[in-house]
Amino acid sequence: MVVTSAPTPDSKLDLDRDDLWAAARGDEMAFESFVIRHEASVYRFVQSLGSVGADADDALQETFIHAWRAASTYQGTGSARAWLLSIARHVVYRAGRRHAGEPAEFDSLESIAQRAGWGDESEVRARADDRARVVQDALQRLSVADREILVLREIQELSGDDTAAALQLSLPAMKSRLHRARLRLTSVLRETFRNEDVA
Amino acid sequence: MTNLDRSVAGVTCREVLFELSDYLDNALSEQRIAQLRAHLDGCTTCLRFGNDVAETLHALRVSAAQPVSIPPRTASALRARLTLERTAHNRARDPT
Repeated sequence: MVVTSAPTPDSKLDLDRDDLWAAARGDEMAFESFVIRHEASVYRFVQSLGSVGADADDALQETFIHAWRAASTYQGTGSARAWLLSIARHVVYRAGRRHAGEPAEFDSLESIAQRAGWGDESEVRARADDRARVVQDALQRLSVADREILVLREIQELSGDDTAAALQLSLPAMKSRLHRARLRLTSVLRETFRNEDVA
Repeated sequence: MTNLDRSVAGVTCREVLFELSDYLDNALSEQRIAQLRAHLDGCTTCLRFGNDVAETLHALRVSAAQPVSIPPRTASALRARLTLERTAHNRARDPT
């Protein structure tokens, strides 16, 4: 089993902070630099939360409008990307009048692990290319709460602290939710492969 | 389901299950990682499950690894909206 290091601190942290603080003083070029660095990341994130087409475009625009207006409130203590993605999250939930990422139900870790295959050694393990083939569909089948934390941590590669900040959770609460989301994703993959075997 | 209270190398399967994410993120002390690794060396159930979770996360990262670009029309609309916002902001600040 490969142990991975936690994502490294954002190397653009200082650049982002300087650009945001310059933007707060009205520096449009600095803000444009910030937009260029993060627009694709925000676009992917709002899409992962369910915004598509014109809704995704609107969410992208609203996110950067809010960031421009609120640049002076960025404290520079966490990564600017986490701050920006937190804004994007609120924009998407407000637009869709969705309930911001709260888990819909509470399952014991043991029951989640069982559904994810813990203790079942009868199954043939999935191949890496099969996992890669279905994992994005599996991600979309998760709850918004599970999906957003996996996107922030695994795809956007925010640190644990920044993920917690973006979701307005304590670090222990974030870690607990992340762990469950990882197991649920494994569970959905397992279910997908079992259905393929039956079909 | 195999008994989660089974102990291997002084660590139960339940402990491994609860600490698996921290283990995968290398967010435990070296001593604790060594303890969990000793359990995994002797417990095929936890090793298999840990590998499943690790490989699922790897697949997720790989599937999203390609660079994302936004459609040109989306990028243009964003710039147009920001220009409008700045213009309104500047007018409000300096009405003359």
